[in-house]
Amino acid sequence: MRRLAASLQRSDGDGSFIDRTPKLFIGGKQTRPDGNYSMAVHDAKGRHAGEVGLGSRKDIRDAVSAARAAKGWAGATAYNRAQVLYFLAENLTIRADEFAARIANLTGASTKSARGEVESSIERLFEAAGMADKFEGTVHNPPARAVTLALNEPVGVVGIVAPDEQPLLGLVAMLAPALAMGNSVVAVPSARWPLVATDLYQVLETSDIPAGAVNIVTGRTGELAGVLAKHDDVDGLWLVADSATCKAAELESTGNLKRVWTSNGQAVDWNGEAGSLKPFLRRAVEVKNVWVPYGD
Amino acid sequence: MERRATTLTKRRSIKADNQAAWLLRAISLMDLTTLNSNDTDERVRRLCAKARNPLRADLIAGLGLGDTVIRPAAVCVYHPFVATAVTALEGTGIHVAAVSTAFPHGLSPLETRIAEIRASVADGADEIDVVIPRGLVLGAKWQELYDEVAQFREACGEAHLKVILGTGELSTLRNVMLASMVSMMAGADFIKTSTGKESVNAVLPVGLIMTRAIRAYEERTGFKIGFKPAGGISTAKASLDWLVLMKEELGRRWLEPDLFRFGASSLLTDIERQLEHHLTGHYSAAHRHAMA
Repeated sequence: MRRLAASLQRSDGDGSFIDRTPKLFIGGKQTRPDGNYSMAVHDAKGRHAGEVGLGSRKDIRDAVSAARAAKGWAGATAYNRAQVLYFLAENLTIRADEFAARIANLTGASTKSARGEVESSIERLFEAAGMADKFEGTVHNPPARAVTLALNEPVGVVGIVAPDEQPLLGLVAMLAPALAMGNSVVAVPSARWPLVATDLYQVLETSDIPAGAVNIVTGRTGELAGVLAKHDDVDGLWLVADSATCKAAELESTGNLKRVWTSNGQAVDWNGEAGSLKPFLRRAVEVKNVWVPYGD
Repeated sequence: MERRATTLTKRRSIKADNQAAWLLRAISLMDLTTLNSNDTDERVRRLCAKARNPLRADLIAGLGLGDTVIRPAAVCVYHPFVATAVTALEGTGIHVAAVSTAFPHGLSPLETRIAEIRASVADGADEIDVVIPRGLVLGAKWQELYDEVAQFREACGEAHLKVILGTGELSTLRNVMLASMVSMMAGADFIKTSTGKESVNAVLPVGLIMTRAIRAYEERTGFKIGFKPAGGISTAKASLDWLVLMKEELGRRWLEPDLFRFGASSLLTDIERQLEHHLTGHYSAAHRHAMA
């Protein structure tokens, strides 16, 4: 089995290799890119590792429509979202070896560090699942005869642009908190190693994530990030990319006032404080304050 | 027929300025519709306000429309809201259409259905959308169908009569063709695909059959009959597909509101979004446009 999996992942293998270009993942379906183009993916040594769909602005448009239509996810109870995320983490656990092999083959990472990346990703999913119903807000005691309920509500449709480094963990570390808080996501995975993300949607498909809650559009990072930044119907945008892409996204989103967070061209340490779950949970919610005045 | 319907929309793509112009045309061919069980006078008034001003002022300016007024052809409501709509649309020239004859099933007593038409006409509706009992088609009771539609025609008086065939429930394209012909012979001004309540609504192959029926009827009698697809046309792209179908099959004359209408509720919002995209280059959101 292991050998079969390995041969399916290698394009430079013997004649048993079956070429399969993964499609985009939009509205719970695997869909061909609107332009019907693909782009080549090369591993760290420069060998051809496969093809993925070359997404364009029209695919982002479709993905945003699908994300907007996935109202059921935001409306689901936090408990239910937690259950789905646990299930997703469990299903990824079952396929951990396959993902580690894929990461090692593509990025040239050592087996140990590839395994570590998959394990961190699974842990992050469990962590987000655990927090899904425990980050609901706080009660403030303002200097008046009142209490104020600060309720955390999902931001809405969140665009996520994931980095090339640690292509699985970088994506999952942003995807998990966004989903946990009830956002729907349009994700642009690493342009260099997108095959990790196209593997991931097969896990998403079997984990009861409702159609449209997660959409994955592979393609050129700068181009797709710009479309997300300019799109009026995207409420938040998280971007880990080079500084030019980050700066352009901030400029292009000024017309629609979406909440933009970028890494300012820096790499993010996903195991450190800045890349941990908490700051992303905070970014994944809008706070609604409800004032409750009282008498004596 | 299905191959023709599939390839028709792919032969030429309408882009850029032409796309914007065709979309504006689509607005002017629209019967802006609300047909929900929970409709209220307030909702109908909101819809009429939208019909008066379908586009944001900055879009109108950006498109360089000047004094050209772009408005839907009609507002389509249930009978209890006809008077509300007539008042709300006073002075605009926008027609008020009422669905009638026990819409959407058409299965109440004939006298009741005819009385319903008369009541809507009395309230000020100048277009009446009637449904035919699908059983008459499935049972091949053509004479009965003819007689019923003829009586609807008579009850309408001066009002325009649109006959809804409910094509999604007629089983075969042959039935669609025959029902179209009988309805036109009995005095329909328009033939209309669906109520919007069937599981299959306006689809292109059925539209193609109905346009062929209209063409055949004109060849035999010299009368031009209108066509109205309704139900499920919710995207700007779909609206262009229908316009292409009309232009290719029946010609330019069928792109005027007296011979072609869309029955639509959410289509207008999508058209507005596409027009904004045309002007600004970035994708628009539904919440940026007034609710229909």
